[in-house]
Amino acid sequence: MPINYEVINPNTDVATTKTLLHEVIPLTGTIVSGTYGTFPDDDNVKNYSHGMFQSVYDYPYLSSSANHIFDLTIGYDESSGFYNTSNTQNTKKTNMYNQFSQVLLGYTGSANRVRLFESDLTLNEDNSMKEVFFVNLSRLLTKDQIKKGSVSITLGTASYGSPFGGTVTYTDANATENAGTLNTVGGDYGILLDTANNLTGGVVFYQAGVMALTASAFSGTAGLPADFYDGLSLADVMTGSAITASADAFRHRLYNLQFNNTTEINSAVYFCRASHNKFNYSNNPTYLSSSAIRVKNLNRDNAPVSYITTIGLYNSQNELLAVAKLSEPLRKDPTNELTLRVRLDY
Amino acid sequence: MGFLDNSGDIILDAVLTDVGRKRMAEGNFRIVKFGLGDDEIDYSLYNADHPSGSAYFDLEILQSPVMEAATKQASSIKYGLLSITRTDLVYMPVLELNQKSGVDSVLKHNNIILLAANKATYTTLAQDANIGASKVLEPNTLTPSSKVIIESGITSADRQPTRENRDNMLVSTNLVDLQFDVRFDSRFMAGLISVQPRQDQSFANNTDGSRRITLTAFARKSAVSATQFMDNYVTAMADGLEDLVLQYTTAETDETGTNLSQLAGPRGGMTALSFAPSTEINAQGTASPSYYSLYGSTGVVGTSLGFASTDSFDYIDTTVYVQGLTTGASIQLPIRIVRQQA
Repeated sequence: MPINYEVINPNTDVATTKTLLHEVIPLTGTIVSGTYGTFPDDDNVKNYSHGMFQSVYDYPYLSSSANHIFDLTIGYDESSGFYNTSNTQNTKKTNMYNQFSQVLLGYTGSANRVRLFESDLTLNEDNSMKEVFFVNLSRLLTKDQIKKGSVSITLGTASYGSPFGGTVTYTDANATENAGTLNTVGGDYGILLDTANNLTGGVVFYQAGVMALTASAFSGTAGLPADFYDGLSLADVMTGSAITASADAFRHRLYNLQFNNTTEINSAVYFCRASHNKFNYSNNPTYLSSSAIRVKNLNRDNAPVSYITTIGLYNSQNELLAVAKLSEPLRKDPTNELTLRVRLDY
Repeated sequence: MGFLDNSGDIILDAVLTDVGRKRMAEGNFRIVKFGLGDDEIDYSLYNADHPSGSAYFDLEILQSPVMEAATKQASSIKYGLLSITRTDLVYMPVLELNQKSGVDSVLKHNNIILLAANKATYTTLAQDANIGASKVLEPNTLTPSSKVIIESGITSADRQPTRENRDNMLVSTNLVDLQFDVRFDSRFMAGLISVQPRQDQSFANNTDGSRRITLTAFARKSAVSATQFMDNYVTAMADGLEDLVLQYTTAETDETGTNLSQLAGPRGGMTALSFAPSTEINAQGTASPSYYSLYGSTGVVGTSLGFASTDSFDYIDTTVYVQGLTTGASIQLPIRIVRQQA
């Protein structure tokens, strides 16, 4: 253990910074449909007995190597034309819609009912999306939030047999850090648009990592395919099938999904200043040969030299709280002064 | 723990240690100072005779690969760099284990220091023809006949151990160790016993070269946890005395004082130590405490340990680390705790 320390002055030797780190997250449609096992019973897709959502992994989920990438579910509001108490899982579908809505949009009106998702940035009850596919992205992928303006999703719009015979791509191209989004109780959201064809696909909530895609997002320019999923229309799937079947249908038509995530890194930078007359000798056992300092070669006029490889940061009880390693030894002698900048990220 | 990529710019690889994360969870993470280390450096690679000139003296040192930072606190800085204002030092003190007979120093047996686990074992070994009282430490006593004596000073005979050289090389440069940090495994040792720095205690010689050594006052030293150094280890501070074994031209016995001192050059400070074995291993009787089978050996015939006795013994080997608190010089002491099965 070292016996010589230098004080770190919190006023002059410590700085704090915040930086945003972005990673590109590309999710190809094949990974969620057909890569592992046979669609729709893919080994990387987990269904639950409650049947309220479906989880998608990047590898067969029974493996410890699997990472959760997103959950899929659908929902519709009670005011939707799809709503019917005789529908399969009708209550669960409305519950899912209400749950996402209350978390992401909150309540409104004297009746204090949940807001409806809207395909615009006004929340004035126009352009409501009453039937919605929800893509709930894992925090593992989105980290602190999705980067605004980076989302792109491509869906197949052709018939079930070859869904990617036609595609539509929605992006949040209008969203930036300073504009093109609306702030709600669930964080900021932006609109997913096919700008070329002036189509609206849904909305993306950046902090929550949730995409709410309107059921008509699969229309493209040619309209909804009659054979949306295995001989069934979209309306049949959303009303007469379980939520998991709708999730299967979504996976079957997901061609590509890409976004940039954001990690906020708060850093403390410690400036470790070794002045000219400090740290020039060493306790390293190899430093001496029969008590003689090797680097001085028995000449008192030669300057003492040491080679720094490690920086230890200590508290007042001499406990080592953090350690930093230099990638190569750094020569220290009385002719130089060093400032070693140690950054700790939180 | 891989090596860091040293092919490009110099980078810093920083991590929180296990203690750092614990302190952060507790809400008292507060960095107030730093120290520097050079554990990967082998200074013997410094080639002051390199035929290509001084720019190449430390070429091999500068090419030393550096390992990644490890989060375990104990695996980080072991030695550390020293801040000494003077730049003209040529020699620095080291710690040496005194192995001179006639100074009450415990002598190594087969390159290891023997510590009796209990009084019965000590009595047996002190009377053993191959061991005797000079080669075994008596456990848990404030009046040890043999002690671990550690000296701090210059080993090179190039500088004579005169008082003048001692003053110039050690005293005036503030390189005299009078306190020592002693770290030991608390599973096997319950405590440290060290000499007291009283005026009636001395480690010196007379002008005729004869011994003037009085090491009779010992005290128990309290220990605190040293898990930041090594798991299960505790640390205690041992006091020391001035090592005044000097070279006298008038000496009749040994002019240089090496009859008493392990160091050939000027001597600075010294300490004398003994230990108290832990209660887990000091029981007398035929039944061996479990620690011996867990961490050592049981039922070993004395002759195979180099004793004259044919009785059966248990033993545990451990290491005690001693560091001078002024110079930072350190020494490792291999210790065998021996217990007689009787």
